[in-house]
Amino acid sequence: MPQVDASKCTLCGNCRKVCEFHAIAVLPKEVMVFKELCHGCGACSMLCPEDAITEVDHLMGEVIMAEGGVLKLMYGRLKVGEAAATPLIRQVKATIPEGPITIMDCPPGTACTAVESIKGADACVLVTEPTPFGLHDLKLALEVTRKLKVPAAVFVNKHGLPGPDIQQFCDAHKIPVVGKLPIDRSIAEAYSRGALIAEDARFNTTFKKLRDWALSEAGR
Amino acid sequence: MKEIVIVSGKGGTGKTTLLGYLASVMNNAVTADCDVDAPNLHLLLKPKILHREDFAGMKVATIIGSACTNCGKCVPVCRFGAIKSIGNPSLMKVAIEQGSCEGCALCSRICPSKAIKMVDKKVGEWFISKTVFGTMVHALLEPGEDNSGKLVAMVKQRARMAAKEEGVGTILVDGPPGIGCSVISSLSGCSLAIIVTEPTESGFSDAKRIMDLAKGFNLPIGLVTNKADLNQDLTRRIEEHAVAEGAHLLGSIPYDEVLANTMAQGRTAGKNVASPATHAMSKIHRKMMDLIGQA
Repeated sequence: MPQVDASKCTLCGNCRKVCEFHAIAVLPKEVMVFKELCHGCGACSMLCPEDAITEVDHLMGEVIMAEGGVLKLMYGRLKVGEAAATPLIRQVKATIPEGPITIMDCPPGTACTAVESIKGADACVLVTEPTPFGLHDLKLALEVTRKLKVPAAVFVNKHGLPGPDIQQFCDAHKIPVVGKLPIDRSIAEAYSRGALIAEDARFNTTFKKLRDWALSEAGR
Repeated sequence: MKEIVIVSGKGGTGKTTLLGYLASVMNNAVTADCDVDAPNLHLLLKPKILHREDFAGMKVATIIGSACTNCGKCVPVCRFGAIKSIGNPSLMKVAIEQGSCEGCALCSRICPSKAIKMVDKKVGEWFISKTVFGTMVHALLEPGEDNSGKLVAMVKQRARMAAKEEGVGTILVDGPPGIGCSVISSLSGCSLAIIVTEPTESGFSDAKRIMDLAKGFNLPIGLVTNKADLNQDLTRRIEEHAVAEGAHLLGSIPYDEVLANTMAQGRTAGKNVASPATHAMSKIHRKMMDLIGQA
């Protein structure tokens, strides 16, 4: 984020001219920076003829580390009102300690935040549901994993809904289906209580199969 | 003109379900799908596309091969890691990964050989369509693209133009999940924000954050709790929090597999589907109309 030193600034307007994000306005007596538009590219400070602009840190969120039993949990929390989450995702990923396995929970959709999260992964599990929405978004997500060259498999949630046949789609596109979880009120209730479905004995084999696929793809 | 945006923070809480219902019972609203990176409303409302346009949301850097001397001065100035030198030091080649380029143009400005040009990049498309319930404006961002906020702004602008031309009084906006740039863009200029949540810890946590964000826009906020009966206790806590924050309780929707089945077949849950969930949504609709009447 740029900070203008008023004693050096001659109000020449070069910084405004080089800012592609329209984040700088030059007023009669001062230069104004709109921080929500700034991408932090550094063009204004690097190209200022008077060397009047320095870059200062801008707090946009926090990275939190926690421990629970044998697990370490790392997460980022964007400050409410901040628009850009990708720098924070990069920061969270950079903070991941050396360890045997990292499991990442990714944002929905296929925009820059999802891409930043999936980038560099050894394997990607795409969770979907047998609805037109689930299938539609699955196709978009597959385009992303293909572009990023990350091996993908599909996990079907709410299996049993009378929507499109996910298995058939995956078979036709040679994508492994590594598990199915039925539509079941008891699962929704357990999730709502904060219980782990994986600890439900009924689904032991389902989640083991998912784990085995991920570990073998990751070459562990 | 009233612009109603449906948001959630968390994905999959039932935004599109509720919007589909409202569009069907109001039957004279312009609809806008602002979830531009994973749009779903078209699957439900089955629009016929009347107009399609490319969206060149940004310019990206491109190297003119013949002019580039591979000096490498552009590599360290790029804050987005989009420029890399490939090969060994004696035979270095500079390459730009356009997917990472944010379009700041700094590289093209400092290039001593003027070998970097900024070129338009298509990041998506937007559409004006007809559905049985009225005009719909939607878009599709190319997978992995940035600039969804700008595309959302375009969708909303076109929806407002359509509503004005047709003399339609209400725009229903399907918002994206999260609290990032596209959500900020969706909330801007609205007359009412409806937050759809569910009684899970993650639903609650995300609802709090979207409520904080929406409060900054100085507009009335309505809360809808979907699948409320799965955890009555948590539903009550969410509602208490919302009221304390100044939000209006529009109602709750029960867990309902009839509704889930209807949606799974890509059908709108309108007046014609008799189920506990549609009954609940008709009450939500009435409360919503009261609220925008006052606004």
